[in-house]
Amino acid sequence: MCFFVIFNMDFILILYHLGKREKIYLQNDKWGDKMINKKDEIFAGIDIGSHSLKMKVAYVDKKGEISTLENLRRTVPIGSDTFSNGIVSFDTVEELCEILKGYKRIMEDYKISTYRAVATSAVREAKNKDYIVDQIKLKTGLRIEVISNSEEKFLTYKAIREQLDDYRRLRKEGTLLVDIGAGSSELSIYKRNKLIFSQGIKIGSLRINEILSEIEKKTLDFPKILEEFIESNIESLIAIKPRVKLNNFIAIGGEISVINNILKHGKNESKYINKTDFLKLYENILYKSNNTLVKEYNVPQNRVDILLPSMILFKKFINLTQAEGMYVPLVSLRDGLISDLVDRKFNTLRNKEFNKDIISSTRNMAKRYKSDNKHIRDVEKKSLYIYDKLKKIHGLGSRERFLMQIAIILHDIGKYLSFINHHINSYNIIISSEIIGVSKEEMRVIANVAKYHSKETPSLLHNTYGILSEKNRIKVSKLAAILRLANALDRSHKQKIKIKDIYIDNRNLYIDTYSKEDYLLEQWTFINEADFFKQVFGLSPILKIKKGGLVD
Amino acid sequence: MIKDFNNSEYFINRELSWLEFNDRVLNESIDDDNPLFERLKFLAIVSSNLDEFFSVRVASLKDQVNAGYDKEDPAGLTPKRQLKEISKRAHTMVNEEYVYLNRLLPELRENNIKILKINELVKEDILYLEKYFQREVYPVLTPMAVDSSRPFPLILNKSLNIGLLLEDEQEEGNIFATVQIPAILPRLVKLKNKDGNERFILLEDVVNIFIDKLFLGKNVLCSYPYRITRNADLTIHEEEAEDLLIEIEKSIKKRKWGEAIRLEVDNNMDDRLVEVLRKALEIHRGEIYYIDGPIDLTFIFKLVSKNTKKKLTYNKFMAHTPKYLTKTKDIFKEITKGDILLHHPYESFKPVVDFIKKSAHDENVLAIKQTLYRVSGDSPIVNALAKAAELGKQVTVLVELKARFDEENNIIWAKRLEKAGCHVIYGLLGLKTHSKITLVVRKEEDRIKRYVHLSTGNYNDITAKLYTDIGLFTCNEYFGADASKVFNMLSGYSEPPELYRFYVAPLNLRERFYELIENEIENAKKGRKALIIAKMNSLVDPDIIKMLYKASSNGVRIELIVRGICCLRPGITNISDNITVRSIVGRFLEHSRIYYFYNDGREDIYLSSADWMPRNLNRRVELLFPIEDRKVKKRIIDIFSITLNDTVKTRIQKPDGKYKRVESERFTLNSQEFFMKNNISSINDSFIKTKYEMKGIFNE
Repeated sequence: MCFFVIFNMDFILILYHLGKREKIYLQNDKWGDKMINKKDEIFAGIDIGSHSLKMKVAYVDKKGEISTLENLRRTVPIGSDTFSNGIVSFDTVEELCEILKGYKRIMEDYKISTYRAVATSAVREAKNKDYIVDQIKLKTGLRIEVISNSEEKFLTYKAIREQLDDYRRLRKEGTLLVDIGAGSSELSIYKRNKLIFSQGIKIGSLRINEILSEIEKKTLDFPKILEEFIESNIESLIAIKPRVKLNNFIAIGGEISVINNILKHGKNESKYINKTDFLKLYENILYKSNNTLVKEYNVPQNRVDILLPSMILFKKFINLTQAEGMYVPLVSLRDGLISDLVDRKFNTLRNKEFNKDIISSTRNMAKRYKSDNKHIRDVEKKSLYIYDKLKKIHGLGSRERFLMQIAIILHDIGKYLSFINHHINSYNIIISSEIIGVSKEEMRVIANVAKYHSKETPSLLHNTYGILSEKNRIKVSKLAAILRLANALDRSHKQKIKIKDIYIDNRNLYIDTYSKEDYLLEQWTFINEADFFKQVFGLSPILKIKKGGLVD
Repeated sequence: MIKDFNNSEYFINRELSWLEFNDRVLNESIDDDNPLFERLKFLAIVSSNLDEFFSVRVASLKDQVNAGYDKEDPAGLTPKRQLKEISKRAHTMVNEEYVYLNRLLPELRENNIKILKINELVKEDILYLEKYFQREVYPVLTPMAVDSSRPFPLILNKSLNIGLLLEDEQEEGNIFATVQIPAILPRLVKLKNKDGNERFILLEDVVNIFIDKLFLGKNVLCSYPYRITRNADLTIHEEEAEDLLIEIEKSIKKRKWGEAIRLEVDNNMDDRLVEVLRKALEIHRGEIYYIDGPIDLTFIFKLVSKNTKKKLTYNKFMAHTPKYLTKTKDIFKEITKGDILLHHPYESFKPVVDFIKKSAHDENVLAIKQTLYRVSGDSPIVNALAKAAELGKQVTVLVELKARFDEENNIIWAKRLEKAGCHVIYGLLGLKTHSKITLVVRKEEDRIKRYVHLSTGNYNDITAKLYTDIGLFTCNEYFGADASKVFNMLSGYSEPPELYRFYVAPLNLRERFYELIENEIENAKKGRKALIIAKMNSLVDPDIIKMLYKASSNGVRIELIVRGICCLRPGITNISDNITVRSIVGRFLEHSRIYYFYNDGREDIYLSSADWMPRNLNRRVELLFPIEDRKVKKRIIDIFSITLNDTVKTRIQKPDGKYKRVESERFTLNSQEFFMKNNISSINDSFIKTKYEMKGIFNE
């Protein structure tokens, strides 16, 4: 028989006798290992982009193999509305709804219940964004998610794997992935099988064109001006890019399919373009008129304006690498939407790998802000352990677990700026950052969880917390409560305490631990945090610490 | 050497060529091999063909003349010149038509069917007709006289009228009056049988007998039937039309009052009467047709359909349904086994209707999509589609409202389909949807499977009994994907997509034909065998024709089977001497469009909804699709070799644009009859070869 020192929040010492009462054994569920979906299904992905509306319908068999059923595309100039006037005109919204009604019909044709419809920068940046989303909902019944730039990229990249056979090798060797959108672009760097850098910039082919269209008439050397403009915009990005050797270059978006078409004379079979070929073509088209491009190279009329800005961007970026050519997997956001739906339904291996990418780029961010890695790892381990054990109590899923993990990794980054109110600094940094594959709303959750990792507890009086939806407020409270307990257990940043087990008994949550060192600070912090935990879960956390090693 | 194929001598005017086609139809009426009723029917067809020709083609030429447009056609004729030539040719044709009619009417009498003239009536008949006139006819007649206070009345397009002159008591001169023969009453009034003869009199004659009763107190000097044809070529201004449907409804009403372009008058009509009409209708003398018999022969259709004298009509013929289709309960399974070709009307259209019906009831079917161009009155296809929608299937129907002369009909069933819950779309602005395609999406064991039916003919169960067409069932994945894309494009959901197998007009169908022809030219240049066989309804497109000349002059052999208009002139030395043009006019209307390219032995075969006409290639949504299934390919080649060896109904086009029947050398073969008698899907080469010594077009 051993003695445990046990604290509850009332500082009352209780003697606990093992085996006397019935315990609730908490199952340690592994997340993401089982196949949730074993049925085949048809999915639809809708992409409301900057200059067109697109939909993909795909059949996914029981093994998760994707086969495309429909691929639709209609030009709608949403982006040129937004980027030049700030709002999407009423007529354009009408047109959008009409086409979406058609898409809805096609979804009905296939009896599709699982779909994802997303809108990107053109809608996101429109002042009448809410009106657009609402009109679409009213007129078509479709729920539109306005996704962030990083989410867009994340989704798009999900489809790369299905296109590039040696994708794995590229990730290992060091690859710069450049994705040029109409309104914004994204740079990602992979090295040693990890995503080590990812950064979005607000510069895209259509945006450049819209901004500079005024000047075009005033100069005979428009390409030169384009180059200068682009250069000035990517300078700051190059400054923060990690200095690693990059042997490969992947090009996505930015009319790369058009470029590939020209180079391959319409036979779009190969997914690789030689740098010399690319540059030759660039020199060739530099001073050609749009008409000539359409005629000579068969460039679609609606793409011809943005071809040159795109090529300049690709040229600038490939020069940052040692690559001799570019891989051009022809992926689109809608391909990614489908892949994502499949990942969610089937919880595939790929999904895990993508999450790993996000975690690794988050860790890189923490490193950039000089966070204490050992502390993070410890809190992470403890929080996740508690989270997994309490699955039945908190009722949250794998995505929330993932968000918590990111919050933990980033919870101390505010210290980089100042130790005073570092939790608020952490919040501010997170909220103004983008993490690939994480939505704006999710970023708010993460930032709040990080903010509430110590000191202040969530309150509706806080602006940052008040603006969240009720659902997300609850999420934040639950995740923060867990994080606070775990954080308390490493208050000294010295990883003194190890958790052995957790169980619930009579509305108490017993955390069974052991430690070789002096744990008074941890003990005291834990007691302080217990109150908030009880408020959130209705369980009183009780810390049991066994002095010494794992000896019964 | 670069040749100039633009020479106007190389082209035949399309209107004149059409008239030659109608002449071939007319010739069927004096072909003794055709039963009497059928021969009469050909006369009626000639008559109704001419009606459409005048109200559309001639009208359009008149519009051009009125608008001062005087550009020459590829054959070098201005619109004015064309009108002149048409008038000349049409007059001869109409004269011949009535010569033939007057030859056939006695034969009809020999068969105890008499259409009596007024002077042949006996007293009993007069008494009967008087009662009939008083009771039925008189109440619906509206006689109208023209004088200083009453302007010339509007004479309804294509209505039959009686024009008469009345004596004017007050002034010197005569009063013109007119009365329309009511279209709601039967044109043929049946009289009592006598001596075993069926006896009829025409309604206009009945009115004429009692014409005095309409103008009591006036003296009728003379009275004769006449008929006018007006401009019916409606052009819908789509850009202005918010709703196509409303616009077409409006223009149907408008159409009745176009400009007069043809006046048909009784051969004996008083010159004064003719003059009155000519002036009032502002019509040229060349546009007046003197008719030696009843005006408007379409009443023959009624006469023939009412009578059931078997020996006077074609032998009844039952369309064949392939055994595997009658036996099977699961058409989807049969299609999965391999592409299925149906050669209508020899093979039944029922499997197509059944396919839709089956799809409506099949629990795994998710969606049905179909284009409808012209459908029959109580169309089983429309019924099946409506049923499918009622049963909860997603049904999308592309209805083409602009099918000429069928708009009224089309609107009715389009509304019906909408009521049943179908999603009805009306096609792309400015482009008629002429392609015939059905797509059935079905959820199967572990996949989504798409079944496609494609055809050269409309989804019309009635015409499928009269028109020769080819339909194809397939579940070829590429075809399925293309079909989906085509429908998405037609619905306006997607921009013209890249297709795997289909070629779509007006996007790339024309270019595809160029490529295919060019390829044969290349092969011919290399000294390889090069052969094009193309079967279609009309060959008009000047650019295609020039390509064919280029091919011919490079040594490509070209066999054309063109039922109707052919603007290509064969047999010109060094230009078109490798081209043969055949036309088959017979019991069934040749309608299938098949294109064969030898392609250095690969033998590429395509089916299409499109003819080689500018309107098909430029202004309509048409499909061209390849035949990939080996068995189906073989069958089409068989169909071609029978068709090309026809000696009975085939006419060969001469360099002057006239047609001559082929002289049978070793055997006689009526291809349509052959297809009726022989189930071609079960015959083999040796059968064809032993029965007929085929000219080996394919095996040289």
